[in-house]
Amino acid sequence: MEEFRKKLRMKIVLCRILAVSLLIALIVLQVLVHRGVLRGETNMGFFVGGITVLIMNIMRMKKAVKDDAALKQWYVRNTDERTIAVQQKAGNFTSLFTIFLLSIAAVAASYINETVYWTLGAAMGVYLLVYLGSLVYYNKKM
Amino acid sequence: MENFRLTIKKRIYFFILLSVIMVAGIIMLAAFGRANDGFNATSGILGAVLAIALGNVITAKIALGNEAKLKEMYIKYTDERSAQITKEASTTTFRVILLGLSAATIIANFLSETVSCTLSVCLAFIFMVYIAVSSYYNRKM
Repeated sequence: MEEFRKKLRMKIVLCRILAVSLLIALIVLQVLVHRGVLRGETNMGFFVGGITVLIMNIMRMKKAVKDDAALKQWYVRNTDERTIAVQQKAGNFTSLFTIFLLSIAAVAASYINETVYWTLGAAMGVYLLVYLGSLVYYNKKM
Repeated sequence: MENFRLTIKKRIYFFILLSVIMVAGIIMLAAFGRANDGFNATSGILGAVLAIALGNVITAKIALGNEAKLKEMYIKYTDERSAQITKEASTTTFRVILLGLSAATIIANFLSETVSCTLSVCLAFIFMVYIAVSSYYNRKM
């Protein structure tokens, strides 16, 4: 359990770094937009959402590190084989379903808007590349 | 092994049906849709699916005719390591794509509103599918 506590502390540090990086990126982008260096709008929703989720996670993890009962609960939830299996199955299905629907959407968009078509095509290409890369990586690792 | 042979036969029927649909699509597209903007994209994707379907039909037919190949295929399909690798790869891809799409949406917001909107919709859709599938498996398992 002590090892898990250490891991959790490490995660808290990583989440803090990520939250601070997001905050800095948001401020820098806002400054650049206001000075006219960048055109358009900063997507505030993404940054605020991301930072909020990270802060909530940090608070929950901090509570777990201090309280033994909460730590045990967190440990069970994170090492529960059923939860892991559900996540893997959901991820697997979502990946395949997304590739399938992206290709249909790309075909449909090719008749409507060329920009959307190229965006979807690029997303699909990147998706396939990442998937193939992961397959090669796990084939070597496992 | 007999059950597996039956599964392979079903797969062959499925891929033949898919090939027929793709061929019909390509013929109809060539006959009526040449002037459309999306002709190249559609015919390309239909052609790719047709090639994959035909490849699968040929592989399955070869396996059905050769006991050693069938056994090899059976091992490949029931190998837990392969299944685990596929699952891990899919899960990793899913996470990487979510992060990538989020970053791309933020960047695209400064370049093109259409691209940013398209990516946002993709992201929202992927989230919705993931949440729906997670809740389904949570109930089922």
